[in-house]
Amino acid sequence: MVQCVKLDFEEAEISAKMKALLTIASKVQIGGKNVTSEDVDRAKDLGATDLEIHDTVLIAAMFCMCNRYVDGLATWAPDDPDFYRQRAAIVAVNGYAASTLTSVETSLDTARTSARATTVSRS
Amino acid sequence: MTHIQLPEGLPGITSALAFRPETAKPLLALAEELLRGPNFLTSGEREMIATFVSARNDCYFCQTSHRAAAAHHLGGNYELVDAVRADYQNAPVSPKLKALLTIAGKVQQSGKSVTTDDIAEARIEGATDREIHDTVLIAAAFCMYNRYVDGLATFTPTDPTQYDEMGARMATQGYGRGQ
Repeated sequence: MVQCVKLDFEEAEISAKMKALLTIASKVQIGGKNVTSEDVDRAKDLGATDLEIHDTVLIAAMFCMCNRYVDGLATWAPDDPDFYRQRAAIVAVNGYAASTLTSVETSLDTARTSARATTVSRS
Repeated sequence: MTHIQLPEGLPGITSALAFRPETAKPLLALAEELLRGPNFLTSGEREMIATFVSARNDCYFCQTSHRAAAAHHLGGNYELVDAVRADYQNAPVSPKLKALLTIAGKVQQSGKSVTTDDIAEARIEGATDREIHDTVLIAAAFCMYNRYVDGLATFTPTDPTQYDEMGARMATQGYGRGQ
């Protein structure tokens, strides 16, 4: 479902309210002034509260920061999807404060072990 | 008109921060650390980076308030801040700051726009890893703040005196007090 939302959220099986909020988020990603009063009215008509609209704008804005931070420093991005799944499982349960050095090191060890296993099996 | 019901009489980001104090706290703490925390880049230089990025993002409130903050850090030198904002390569600032502004301008477009040549140039001019890191993060953070301010269509004052007063407060009292 997450993949569907990433590719074409208007066609994904999510609520109409969520689609309206994703429209706002996609406008924020381009630039704050792209959000129109029509976009906001649509979200409100579909049940979005002021808090939900506020948080959607701020989440979108925040990830425009985080994405630039990660890529602007050319940080290492592991290829192995399992790295991300394992890290996400930790964060979903323990929150973002769990992205500590310890959990990152554990994820790194897992990713390296997995990469080595892939190399060995290919040789 | 603002997109949601925000507290009245508060300019720009301050209305959004007042609406949602839980997110205001870390947003202000980030600004305080990035723009006024201990650093070999002066606060004036860092506020100029913020102004530069905000101008590129066409955010009137952020560029005007941070322009004022930068000027107050620089003894009232609005002319210098304006020179950097308009044409930093020809402004009377250090080659190191120019190299860092190039990086900031690239980050404003997209993180991936920053090249190894941009980084090398900054290092040749004496920028440390910490300064490069902070430049990237200041630029990235203002891509957030600019979108937050304009994405909610917060109220944008037009009185220059109001911005000068804001800038003075930002420079002397900082961001930790819920401004």
